[in-house]
Amino acid sequence: MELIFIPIITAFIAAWTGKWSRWIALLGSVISGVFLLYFFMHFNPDAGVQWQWNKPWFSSAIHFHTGMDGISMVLLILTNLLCPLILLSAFHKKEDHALLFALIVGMQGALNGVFVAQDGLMFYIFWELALIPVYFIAGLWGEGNRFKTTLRFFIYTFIGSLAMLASLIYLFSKVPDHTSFSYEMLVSVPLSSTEAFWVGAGLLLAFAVKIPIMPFHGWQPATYTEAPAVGSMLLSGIMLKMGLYGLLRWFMPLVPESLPTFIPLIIGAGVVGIIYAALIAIRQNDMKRIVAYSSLSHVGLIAAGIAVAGETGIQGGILQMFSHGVNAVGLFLAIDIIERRNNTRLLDSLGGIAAQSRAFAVFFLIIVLGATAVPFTNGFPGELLLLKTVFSYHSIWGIVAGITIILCAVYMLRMYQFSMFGESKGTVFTPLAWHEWVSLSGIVLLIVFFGLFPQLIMDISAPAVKQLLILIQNMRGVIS
Amino acid sequence: MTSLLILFLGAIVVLYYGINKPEGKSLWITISLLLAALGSLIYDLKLFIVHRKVSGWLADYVPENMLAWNFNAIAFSMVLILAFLLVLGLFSRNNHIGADLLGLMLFSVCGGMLMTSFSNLIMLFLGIECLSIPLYVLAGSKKSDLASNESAVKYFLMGAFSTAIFLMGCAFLYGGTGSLELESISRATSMIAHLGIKSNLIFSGIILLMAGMLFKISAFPFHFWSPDVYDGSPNRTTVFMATVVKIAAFAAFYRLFDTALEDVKNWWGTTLAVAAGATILFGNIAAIRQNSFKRMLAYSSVAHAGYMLMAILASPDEGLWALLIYLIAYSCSAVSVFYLLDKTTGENQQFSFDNFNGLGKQNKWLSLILIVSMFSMAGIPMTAGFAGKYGLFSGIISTYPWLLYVALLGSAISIAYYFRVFKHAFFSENTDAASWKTGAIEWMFLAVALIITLLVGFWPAVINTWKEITF
Repeated sequence: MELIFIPIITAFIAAWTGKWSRWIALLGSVISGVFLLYFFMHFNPDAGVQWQWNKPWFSSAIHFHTGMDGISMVLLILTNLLCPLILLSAFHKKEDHALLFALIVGMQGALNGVFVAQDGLMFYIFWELALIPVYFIAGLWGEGNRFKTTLRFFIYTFIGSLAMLASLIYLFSKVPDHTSFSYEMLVSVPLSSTEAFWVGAGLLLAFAVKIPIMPFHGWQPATYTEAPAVGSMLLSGIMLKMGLYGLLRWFMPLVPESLPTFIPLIIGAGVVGIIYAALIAIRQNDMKRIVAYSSLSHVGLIAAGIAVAGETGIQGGILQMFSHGVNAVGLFLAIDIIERRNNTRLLDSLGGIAAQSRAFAVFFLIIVLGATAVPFTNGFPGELLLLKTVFSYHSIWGIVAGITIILCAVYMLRMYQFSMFGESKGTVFTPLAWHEWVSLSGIVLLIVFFGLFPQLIMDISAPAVKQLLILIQNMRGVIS
Repeated sequence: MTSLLILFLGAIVVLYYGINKPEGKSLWITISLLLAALGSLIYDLKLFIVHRKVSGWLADYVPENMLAWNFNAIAFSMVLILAFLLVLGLFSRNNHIGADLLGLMLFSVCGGMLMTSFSNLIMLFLGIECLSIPLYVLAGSKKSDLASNESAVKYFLMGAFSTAIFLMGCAFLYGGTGSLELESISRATSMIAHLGIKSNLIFSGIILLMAGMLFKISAFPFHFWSPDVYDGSPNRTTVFMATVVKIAAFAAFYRLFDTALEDVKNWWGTTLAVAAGATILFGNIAAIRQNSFKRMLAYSSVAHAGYMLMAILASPDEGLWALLIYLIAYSCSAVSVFYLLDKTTGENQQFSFDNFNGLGKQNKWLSLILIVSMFSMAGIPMTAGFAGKYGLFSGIISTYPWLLYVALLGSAISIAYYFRVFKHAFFSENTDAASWKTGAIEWMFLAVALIITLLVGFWPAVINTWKEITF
């Protein structure tokens, strides 16, 4: 409740305040984080959905119903940690960017709304709402053919969302007497196998576009590349997780009847996407494009792991969602810092940065290692669990997915090597500014800390994952 | 009933009083007349909620079998007057609107109110004529403009033709049921449906009536007039047609099909569903390729008519609420967008997307209005358009699921052209600085439209709370 409205109200204030906008936005973003901290301190992972707030909204059936369990909590922590860092990373933009800061903090509110929604229509509304700030961020401050790219992005995701809306309304129409749109009611609707297929297909389309899983990724590389740095960070760091969260929290429990049909498809598309994206990433020259494709490759693995619908896979997926968010934001941040100083992010015109700024070289290296999933960084435990899950599902898929570790090291280290080492190409790398120090060291700390103690995150989500699996099993039992 | 009389007598007063007077005065008289009519409607609503019947010193003189002021009549009339107020407030100060045009518009609105409250097909016919005849004049009100004249002639010819078809339908229905009163028609058709007889006379009557009504709302097979007429008419008339006329036509459509002919829905349901689906697809696809903003809005209004037809197909209760919300949403955003278009239109009458270049940099508040209106038309959550679409979709899903998917496809397509204006407003530099100065009165009306859009979008229960009171 507070997590939704504080950032959104802040956004409205910040949009009209001119040069104070960035401080107001940061303040609102941090206050939301403090509230989350309070919730987290009093959070009991075993107690199911907590901090519920339930009021009639659209009608007596559709409620404004928020609440959080372990899975939401992990993603809320991610959102509220990263949004202040993203705001900080844009702090050098002073004039004429009041709207940018407002949009970022508004986005935080919408994302929090997605993760706490306990009502079908509310989930849909915030899901759509999260799209709008990022549309304007990418459109107004993007580069290249930004209008076309952002429009393509919007239409892709909007078609997916509308399909999800159709599925949700269909489920609602099956609820006895149309009394409630709440999560529990939607979950308990029994469906025939044809109905489950179509409802599931609608939901899956929305999530697959957002994640994006292989054949639905057409919007992704161009949008990531042409959006400004903060846009790419929001998109890859947090918005992707909306899709994965939807897959986990809404798709699998709502239509467990259709899982036998869809699981092989998701795993197949995910694993093929891993290899496909990694191979493309190796050949790229534009650093942002490399990260875009690496992101595609990583989420393919997460989606495949979650889709197996076992405890290890889901736990690994949640852990990896968190780590990937941190790492992707770190990578885009580092690229943005390089680009601002050299006016380019093409590998063949970069080089020699390590010699000029030792601190930045260390930060960047740790982020790259985190993204490559080296042990003792946060990328490792999640990836291990995910690969184990895919392997136990089918050994061939597991082996194919495992190649990703090698490919990932190839393109990540290639990117690092070409940009940081070798001869300097003439530009002077000015020292890092204070806000860059803060945001970079924040991310590096997160990478190392959760590399050493991944169990902290897994403890938060473990009971919720168990409950979710029981829910899925029960529903399947009822049907068969 | 009082409100209808206020407007009708008021129109005559405005005509006689204002013919030699300065422009401003008759405008204020008209606006105060409308406010008085709105007030009397609110009083009627109160009466209806308490007594389930509107009675009083005037209502008792009108036989129930001619005009019946039940809930949907009052509600649609209120929306109608609200939309007319917005049109007047935003389109008259700088546009030199004389008493003659105001009088015509008032007569047209009287016709619209007959269409919302009829309980006899004769009254419906009178309402349609009373609504349309002033419109033919209004469409041609820019006398020296060729396009305006063309649109007036086109509208008149097509309108006369469709009225003939409509009358034919009335005659067939009379032949089949023996009455022109809605109640008797309803009784007769429900008996026929109950007995399982198929009456060809009634069936063809219904289809002809439907064709006449589809023409008025510019739905698929009968939509060809609308882009040309919308494009050629002066902006003020276009927005009047797009909002007031559409509200009246849908109110009549709803009243005729969802109260009188509800029991034989399986006779006309599928036909109407096909028409709705085709309207949605056609309107949206045709709108993509338009280079003129005004023509784009004309095609999009065809598409909106298609969405609203889904309300007729839903169950009467659900349909009524969805239709009301959708009409409010659509009127508010259409009026605001047409106002912006009117601002940008220079002397040369260009309605292209380029008019909007550079709006984002120059005027923040107007760009906010543009964004919210476009979002509302496209059905993005938190705007009234989404609340309306949600109501329509949930009303239709159990009976015509395929139509829902068609409508969703249409919504997805519509993004392409609604968002195109953002490209011009925010992503391009301005070439020639249009004047974005807006007067205080206009701001007031724009703010009303904006607040309604956001309020209904964020909290549709504002309207839904009436539901618990009235049913």
